[in-house]
Parts: sequence; C-alpha cells; structure tokens
Amino acid sequence: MSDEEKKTDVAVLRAENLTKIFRDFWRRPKVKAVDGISFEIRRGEVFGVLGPNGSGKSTTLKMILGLLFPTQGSLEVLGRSPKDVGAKSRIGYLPEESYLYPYLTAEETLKFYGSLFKLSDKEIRSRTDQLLEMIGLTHARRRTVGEFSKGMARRIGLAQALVNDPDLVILDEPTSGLDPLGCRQVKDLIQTLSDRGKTVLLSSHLLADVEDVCDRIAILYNGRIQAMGSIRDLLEERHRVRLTFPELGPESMKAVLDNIRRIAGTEPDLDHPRKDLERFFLDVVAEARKQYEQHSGVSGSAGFAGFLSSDGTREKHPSKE
Amino acid sequence: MMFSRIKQFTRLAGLTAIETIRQPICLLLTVTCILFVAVLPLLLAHQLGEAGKMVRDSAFSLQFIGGLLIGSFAACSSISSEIRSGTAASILSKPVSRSLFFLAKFAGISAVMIALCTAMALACTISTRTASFAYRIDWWAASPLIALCILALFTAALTNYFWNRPFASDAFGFLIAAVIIAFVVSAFVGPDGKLTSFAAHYNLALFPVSLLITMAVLVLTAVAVSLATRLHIVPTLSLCSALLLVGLISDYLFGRHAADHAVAAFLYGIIPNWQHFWVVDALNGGGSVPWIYIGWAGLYALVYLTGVLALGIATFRVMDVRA
Repeated sequence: MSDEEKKTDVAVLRAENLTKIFRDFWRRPKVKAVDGISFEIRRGEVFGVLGPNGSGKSTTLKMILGLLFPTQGSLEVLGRSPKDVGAKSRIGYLPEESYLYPYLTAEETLKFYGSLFKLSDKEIRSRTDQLLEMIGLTHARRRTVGEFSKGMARRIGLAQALVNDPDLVILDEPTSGLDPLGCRQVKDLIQTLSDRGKTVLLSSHLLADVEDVCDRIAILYNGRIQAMGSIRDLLEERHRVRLTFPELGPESMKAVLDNIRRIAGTEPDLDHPRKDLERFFLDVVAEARKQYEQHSGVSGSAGFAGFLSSDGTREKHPSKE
Repeated sequence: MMFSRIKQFTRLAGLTAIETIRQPICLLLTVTCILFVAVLPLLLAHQLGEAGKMVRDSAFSLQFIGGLLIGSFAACSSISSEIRSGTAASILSKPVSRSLFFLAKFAGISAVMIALCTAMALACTISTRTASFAYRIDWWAASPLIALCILALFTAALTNYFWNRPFASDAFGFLIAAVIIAFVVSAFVGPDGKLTSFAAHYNLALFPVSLLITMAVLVLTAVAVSLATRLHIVPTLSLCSALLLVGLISDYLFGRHAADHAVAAFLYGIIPNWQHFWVVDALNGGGSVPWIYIGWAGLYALVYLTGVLALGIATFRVMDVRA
C-alpha cells in the first residue's frame, strides 16, 4: 500500500463542539476544561495536540477514550461512540503518568494487558517477546516494574499501548522521562505506525518532538483551539526564502550577495547552518557505542516489533537524516 | 465474546487478588488476626472454665473486624488508588467494560477475604480446642498452629532472600497454608498426644457460625468497593465502620419503631442487620446453627450483595475517571 493510499480522507476521529465542565462535590460547575472544540483526524495522520498545562489536552484525550464524559458536543471514534467498549479493541493508549502495577514484572505487565484483548496465549507471548525486544528491556523482563526508572517504565507503557496492534494510537506525553535515544526511537516508531496507515494522536509539551513527527497540530489554550493546521502551513514563512550551498570563496560570496542585494533590494541574513542538538547527541552516542560495547540500564533496541512493522517482519530501526 | 469476557474477568480478578495480598497492610492485619487467635488461649487467666467461649467470641469478633479493615483497605488500594494513579484509566481504555472492571475488583478482593475467613475459622477451631479444658492448655493443638505460623513467615523471608520473591504475598499464602496444615495435623492428635480419628476433638459447629460472618464480611467488602470508586480510605473506612455499628444495633434503633414509622421501616429495611450473621450465642450449651438458617441468611446476604454491587456499578458507569 502506498503512503497516499494509507492516508485517506476517512475520519478516524470526529469531535463536534466538544465541551467538558468539571463539577465539585455539590455538582456545581468548577472549571471548564474544554470549551466547544471541533476537529477531525483522518486515517494515517499524526495529529499533535499542544498547549500549556491546564489547556485541556489530557481532558480531550480522556473524552476520546470514554474515561470522561463530554458535558456537551459529540465525539465519534472509529465510527463509534467512545462509550462503546468494542471500539477500544482498536485503540492503544499511553497515559501521561506512571500507572503500572508495581509488583508485576515487565513480562507479566505486557501479558496482562495483552490478555485484555482477544488474543491467543501464543500470540500474547509472541508479542510480549517482540515488544520487550523493541523497547530494549528483554534483559529486565523478570524485574518488577516498581524497580524501574521513569524512562524504563515509560517504555513498558509504550509497549502495552501497542500490544493489540491498534489502528488509533493515543499517546499522552510519549517522550516524557525518556533519554534522547528513547525519544528518537519513539518518534521513529510513530513514523512507522503512520506509514502503516495507523492514526496517531499525541499530546506533548515538547514542541520539537511534535514538529518532527506530526502532520497536523492543534494548539489549545484555556480549553479552546487557538490554531490548527498542518505543520507546514502554520510554520512556513512564505514571503522568505533560504538558500543553502557549499561555502564559497570571498569573491564569489561577495558576488552572490551583491546580486541578491541588487535584485531583492534588501540586506540578506548570512550564517552557517547548524546541526540540531538531538542529531549531534545521537551521533556522539553512536560513536561512543562503537567503542564501548557494554552499557547499563536500557540496552540497544533491536528495531520494531515484527507485528508492528509494515510487512510483518522485523524491521531495523530506521535512522533519520 | 463470552469466553473473552470471562478471560478478562479472571485475569482482572486474579491480578486484584495478587495486588491485595502484596499490600503490606493486608499481611500485617492477617498476621495480627491469626496469631492473636493462636495465642489467645495462652493469654487468658481467671476464666472460670469459660475460656473456650471467650476464645471463640474473641476470634469471631476479630474475624468480623479484621474482615472490615482488610476489605476496606483492599478496596481503596485496588480501586480508589488505581483511579487516582491512572491504572484504572489504562485498563478502562482497553476493551474492558466498567461493570466487568468493578465486578472483577470485587471478586478479587472477595477471594482474599474468603481465604482470610477460612484461615480464621480454622484457627478459631484450633484455639477453641486449646482452651477447652479448665486450668490446662491443649498443647497438641496450640503448638502446631503457632509453630507453623512462625515457620510460614520465616519461609517467606527465605524465599524473598534467595529468590527475590515478594515477601508479603508469599507470607500470606504460606500463612494460610500453615493454618490448614496445623488444622489437619492437630485433627489426628488428641489432647493426650495419641492418634485419634479425624477432627474428633474439634467443635465443627463453629464452621457455620464462621460461614455467616464470612457472608457479612463479603457484604461489607461490597459496600467498601462501591464507596472506594469515589472516596479515599478514611471516608470509606469511616462509612463502613458506621454501617457496621448501625447495622449491629439496627433492631434497637429502627426495628422496634418499624411498625409505626415509615422512615424507621425504610432504614430498617435498607441497612443490613448484622445480628442475622452474628449467631455465636447459639453455640452455648452445645447448640448448633441449623443449615436452613444459614440458607436464609445466605439469601439475605445475596440480596444485599446484589443491591450494593448494582448500585456501585450504576454510579461507576457514569463516573468520570479523571486520573
């Protein structure tokens, strides 16, 4: 299936005038967390919800999952009401906070979450193994989750969200607590899921993460959508152009700049392009890893779980340029 | 579809039971209850031949109160805390209905309560035998119980040390097993140390009494589970304790006015009357509790259980899971 076929106009999620008012013990309105928002997410899209704390991001996600009930408005998830339990078999959810059973091991945790879906025991075992390998925690499979660092627990959380190979993946702050390698892996995973035609809805405070992976974003403030659209449309400065070329000698450079001044009638900005810090960090770590084979904590990932990769076979971790 | 629901139910209930017995507070209360019953005959003095009765009454009271405390703590750690920590949200975001989640939580906690009540009934039977002789202690009954309980805790410490197994749940399991083994071992040995036929020196009429208390504990657990969907531990425990107290004096508070006042009749009807489950006095003078009475009391408990659980499900289904 080509990317174009995978990304269709079929709406996976549709919200219409969605409003959520939280009430106090006496049922009096306390706070309007979400205030009449409307949006639509199409199949294969990676949609980001951004906003400061208390802007209504998590409340919106929880309404989509049927954990909170809208005060007003309508919601349709995968063609059904969020209250419909059946629809949830096609959804994967990574909550924002730590929520795992501390006394269960990593393996038991994934098997438990797998057992909540219509999967055979053999399939659950197989997916558990693949997911543990994918998140680099195979060596810690028998350690209880309570002993894990925040990053390791986050990885287990991500694995449980994918155990059912969901069509709609909802990730609340997916890179929270992860090291830069983990963040990169999560972003690559989101891209892989999107390439497979999965729809991803994520909320994050980390704008760079959202910019890297999202097709479209909505910015929430005070429960309302302040801006919504594709990353390109929202961020592109259409009246300005940037040229990048190899460094020229002083005379050639002067000639180029003179031409630009003459044609554009303005002074151009001139600087050297920089790597972003994430790319630089990943390069340094990759170099260090070659020299020092052994490392502690999370081991290197073996790529994506077979059942999540596009052709059903194990796929090596794609490195983004 | 049905098989899938059953599978979800058993996994959730099983996990709830495991999580409950892994709570240190659950082990602490269980150990306190069982060891207290085990050593009670050794602590009594000047009992004027009433030691057996005192042990029996104290043990059943402890079963009732211990059941209330453990049930409330377990309900709050399993539901209230899970809702606040987001664990419940992670499960309810899967294809698990709220009713199933709620009932599985109750089933898991109930399994632990039944195990606890069984152990308490056995420990009470052993201790009643220990104290059944005036001015003498039946060490052939007391020793295996006390020794095996201590051995159970020691074994759990060893499994924790050598195999890194969770101490609390292992200790709970070993403790229950220890009481059962102690009951069986003592059942074959008479007070004089000679072999006898099985349970010849036990008062088996204690079991129906304990069964009735177990029913009451399950009703209280259902109340605690329902309250824990919205309240923390302190209000849940307070309300359950208040219900226990009011239910114990329900005949006095409401029963005598029920015929004249509609409000009293209503309250008398909806508040469980725990006196129906507290029939230990029927054993005085060698009496026993008829099975037909147990059947009716069981039906009474079932009606309350169904009502309380239905109410709990109804409110949980429309509740925001806000974690």
